Amino acid sequence: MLIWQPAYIGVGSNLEDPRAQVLRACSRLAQLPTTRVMLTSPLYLSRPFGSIQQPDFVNAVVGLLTRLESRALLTRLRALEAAMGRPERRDKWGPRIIDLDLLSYGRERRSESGLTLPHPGIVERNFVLYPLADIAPDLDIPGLGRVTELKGRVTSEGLRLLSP
Amino acid sequence: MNTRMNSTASEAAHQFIVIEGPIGVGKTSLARRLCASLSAQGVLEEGAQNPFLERFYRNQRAAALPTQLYFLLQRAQQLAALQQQDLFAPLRVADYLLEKDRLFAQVTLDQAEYRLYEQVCAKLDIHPPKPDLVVYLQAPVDVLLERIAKRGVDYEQRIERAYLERLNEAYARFFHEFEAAPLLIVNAASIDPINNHADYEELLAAIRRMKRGRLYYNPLRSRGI
Repeated sequence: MLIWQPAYIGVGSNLEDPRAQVLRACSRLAQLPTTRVMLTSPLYLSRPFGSIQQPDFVNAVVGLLTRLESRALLTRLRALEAAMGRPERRDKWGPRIIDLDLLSYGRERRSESGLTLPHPGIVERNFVLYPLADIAPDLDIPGLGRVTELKGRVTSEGLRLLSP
Repeated sequence: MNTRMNSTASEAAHQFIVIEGPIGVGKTSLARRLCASLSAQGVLEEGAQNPFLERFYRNQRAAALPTQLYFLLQRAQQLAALQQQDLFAPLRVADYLLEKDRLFAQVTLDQAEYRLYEQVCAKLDIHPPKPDLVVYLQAPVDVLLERIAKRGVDYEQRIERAYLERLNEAYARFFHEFEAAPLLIVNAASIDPINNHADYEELLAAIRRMKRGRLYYNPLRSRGI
């Protein structure tokens, strides 16, 4: 792949010093092959979804330029999660040491096992849309719309900007 | 289907933006930044991959032709890849114009080499997509030298002032006559769009406003000392 593709990664953690985990994940993303971290959002604190009792999450979004294909990038993200101590089994709303979601990749739209692009959860998650709007307000997510507009459709309930 | 329906008319106008300018002026950094904030594909030069470049800066005369041919083939290949994957007509930002290749060839090659270069060019028959905006970053040689020193790429530290002066002149001449696309000429010495967020936002607004003709972007502001 000779062309660099823009990709946005949602980063989250609520275990074992979540803030440090998120920062560590950001610096590990910068070490992926043929990939550069271009933009990193401020950190947000968010209340967990669902009925499970668990600590608050720390969230951020990272904007990358990469020459990896979307599948290869996803594989790298999963490997990075594992390397950071996340177990194989993925509870949808359970606590986790690190969570790396491929939110959007270029203008790709696909729906296959394990990889849906853009990430279908974007539109309902303020902990994705707020940090994403901080770094790429004009981003037009294929099939979903402009980030600023999507952000306007969710509330900031349960979300708090972490002081740097 | 218009996939950019939700964006404003001014954004829809630019589908292919090219950033140009001499070595060290900051084109690649600006292009990357634009890619990430606008979610654009990056058509970016891989200078560091050119195995002749280090030799070139050590001994320009001896290594000019292979350096030049390597860049030409790399650019041809990249631009060909661009034409193939055109499904969604994405926004693209490049950090070079193909014409740059010839501009450098004219500065670095002798007559016989240049004739050979021309023959290779003609055989390749490259048709790059036409940009709908070119941003030309300008800065005096002193500023370029300072930025080259700051980014600290080993082999670039050998770049001579005289070479940068010739390049700066070649760029100025080239863009003086340039009419192929709207041209925004930016005084890159007075702004720092990479590290200063306000500078970036202002430049981005100027890029968006730019529709036709040529315009000098030279923000005068007091920045303290």
